[in-house]
Amino acid sequence: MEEELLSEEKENLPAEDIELVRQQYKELEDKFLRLAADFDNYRKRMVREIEELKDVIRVELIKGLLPILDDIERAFSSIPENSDSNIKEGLGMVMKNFQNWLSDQGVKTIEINNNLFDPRYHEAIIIEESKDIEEDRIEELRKGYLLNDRVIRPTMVKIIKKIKEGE
Amino acid sequence: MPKVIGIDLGTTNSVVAFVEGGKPTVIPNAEGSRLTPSAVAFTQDGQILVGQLAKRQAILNPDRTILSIKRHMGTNYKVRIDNKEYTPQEISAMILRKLKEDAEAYLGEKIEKAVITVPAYFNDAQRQATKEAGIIAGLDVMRIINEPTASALAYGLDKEGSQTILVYDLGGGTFDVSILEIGEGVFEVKATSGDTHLGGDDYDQRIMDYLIEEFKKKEGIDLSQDRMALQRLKEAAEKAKIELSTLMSTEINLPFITATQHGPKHLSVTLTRAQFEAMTRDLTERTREPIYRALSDAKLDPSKIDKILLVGGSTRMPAVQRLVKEIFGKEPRKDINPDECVALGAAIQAAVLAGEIRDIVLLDVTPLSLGIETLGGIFTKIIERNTTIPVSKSEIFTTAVDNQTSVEIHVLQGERPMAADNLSLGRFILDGIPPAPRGVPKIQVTFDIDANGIVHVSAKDLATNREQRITVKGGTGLSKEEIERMIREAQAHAEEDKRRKEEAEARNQLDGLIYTAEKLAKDAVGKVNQDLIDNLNKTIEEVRSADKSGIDKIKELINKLNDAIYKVSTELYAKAGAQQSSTSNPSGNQQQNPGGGTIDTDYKVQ
Repeated sequence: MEEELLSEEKENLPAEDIELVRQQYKELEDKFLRLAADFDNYRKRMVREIEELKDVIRVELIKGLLPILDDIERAFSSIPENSDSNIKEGLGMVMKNFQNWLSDQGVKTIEINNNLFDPRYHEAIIIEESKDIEEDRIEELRKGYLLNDRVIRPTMVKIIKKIKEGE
Repeated sequence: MPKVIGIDLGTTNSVVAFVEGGKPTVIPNAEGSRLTPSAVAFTQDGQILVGQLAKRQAILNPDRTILSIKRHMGTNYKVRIDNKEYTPQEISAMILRKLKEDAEAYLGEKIEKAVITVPAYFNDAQRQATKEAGIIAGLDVMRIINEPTASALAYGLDKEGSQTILVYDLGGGTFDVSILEIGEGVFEVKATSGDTHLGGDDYDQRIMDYLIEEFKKKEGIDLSQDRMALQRLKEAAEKAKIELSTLMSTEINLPFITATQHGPKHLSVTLTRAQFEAMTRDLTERTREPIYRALSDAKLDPSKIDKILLVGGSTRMPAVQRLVKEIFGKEPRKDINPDECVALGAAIQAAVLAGEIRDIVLLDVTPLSLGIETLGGIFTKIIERNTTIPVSKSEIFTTAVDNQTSVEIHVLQGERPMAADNLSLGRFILDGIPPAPRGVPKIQVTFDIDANGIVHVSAKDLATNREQRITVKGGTGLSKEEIERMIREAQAHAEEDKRRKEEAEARNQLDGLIYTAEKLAKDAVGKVNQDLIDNLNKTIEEVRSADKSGIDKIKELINKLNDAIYKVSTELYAKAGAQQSSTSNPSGNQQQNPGGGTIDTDYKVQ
């Protein structure tokens, strides 16, 4: 009697167990695959991010140096052209060395080509109106720079708007 | 399963984050910045610009640039551009769409669902409008949650039982205080207060005003009329403010700020933190009253607040932190980046709602470092604290004396550099090591922590493959309080421990040097002047019996012994060199200095 019961139990329980195990196996496999996928994506993105990070660090460093170049350029242009000392020439060489170093780093100056304001490259801080111009134009106030075609500092510009007739 | 994101749609700036492997992370925008200005612009040629680009052209296009649209959410306010009207939710949707698209580009997959945060004081209409903005942006808004709730989630406070918290959120242009009660994972807002026009920008303005005033006093020139100079002042003011959060004083140098007929003029001002705090005291003080108002509305006194969270970039200022500490008499929490806290919490909420958090395998970490005791009673860590488990790490060690046939492995847990100050988990002996000079045997010690936190430590002699192991059950089964206490103690004793460790290391170095000296004294017999050898032996004896208390004395003995060794070895090599003039690099019995910082630290002698 007892033996029969036991054998019955043995037959019933495993079937449930197998189902339970199968279910748990599926859950675990799913969890594992998700984690593996997450990790794989993470790994891929890390590779990309480390590459980008190198750029970010360079951009931050260069960004920090730009105001110093601005100051050198301001100093240079504040020395009168006709001054007979060699200071202007010397400072000009300092400035040139600095600019060459930037260009060696792949930094390019943003050029103002067609007098059109483009918020991707320019930051407007002054707006003026004038009758004496043919059409709207922009004037560079502080140089902007690109590194690998990415803006590291937009050019600060003044916008001069033409006053139209009758306005 | 598509990724879900959390968005902090702020008045001045917005941030987007997502959860990956159980951890929330901020997603940078297309311009590479983690903060996106909440600005929208309609250009004359029909383009819509969002974020930094919108701000850059704001002056050119003031009527068509919309800033701080959040202030109008849930009202009938309309933005009118080219005879078309836009609701605040349509404008907000443009910001949300940029955040969504930038996140998609970053993650490389489509995003459909998001959680968006709103201030705790937002009413139903404002919440509804925020939700609509999400829908217009093409997002399935799973939930709108309160910003302070998101912050609490970012700090994981929902898992810490019932408590009352206060969130102090001082952003770029708004200040919010919220009191929340957390219990059973439910957040209840008890009170909110704040100042809708107070933030970091006001602090920058104070510095600018000060610089303009100083320049006027010195040079008689008003810079406030010069747009270009103002721009430089603004940048310098913000930089100075940030610097004064970590430095006591900062220099502001703006050469060639302007020019007169007499030549260029420069601005040079040194600003101390004390000066900065004095000129902005009233701003910081303005946050006091809303705190008391919120406490009074919640019918609580400051002592009833269990935790204070600092959110918003401006809470980095020491004066702000001091004010909070003064009111509540305890340190506020500020370890999560205050600019990103809200978005991180929103991302956690999004992941929970999407079932992602449940699905991920929760990985545990070892709360304390594990390692063994090495020569001189030094605790050598093998697995550093906060290492994710399961993990396995091994290191090779060696013997401390000649012909040592057994080593004792003393397993320890803790953060202090000296073994005796840490918790002993057990010890065992590996014997049967074939006799060899010190430093020759290679004994590999492996620590393995399984997923249940059970630590297995084994030691294996790589020459004989003899192995011994120990299993520490519940080795990391310390209570949270005990762990915190141990970490605190390690910090409190850091200085003194460092000295003791240095002393123990110097002692080891001296022991190694005595060993080298003895060997040299034997080897040199008959090869160099016996007087030198006698002198070396005498020095060894002196050093052995000398008083070795204190690192300075030990270092003195090391120098003394080195001198004696040097005298013998110089002559030894000089002679060897003369004999074998063909080898330029004499390879005598030169010993490596055993104390020379090699990683193979030695075992205690049995």
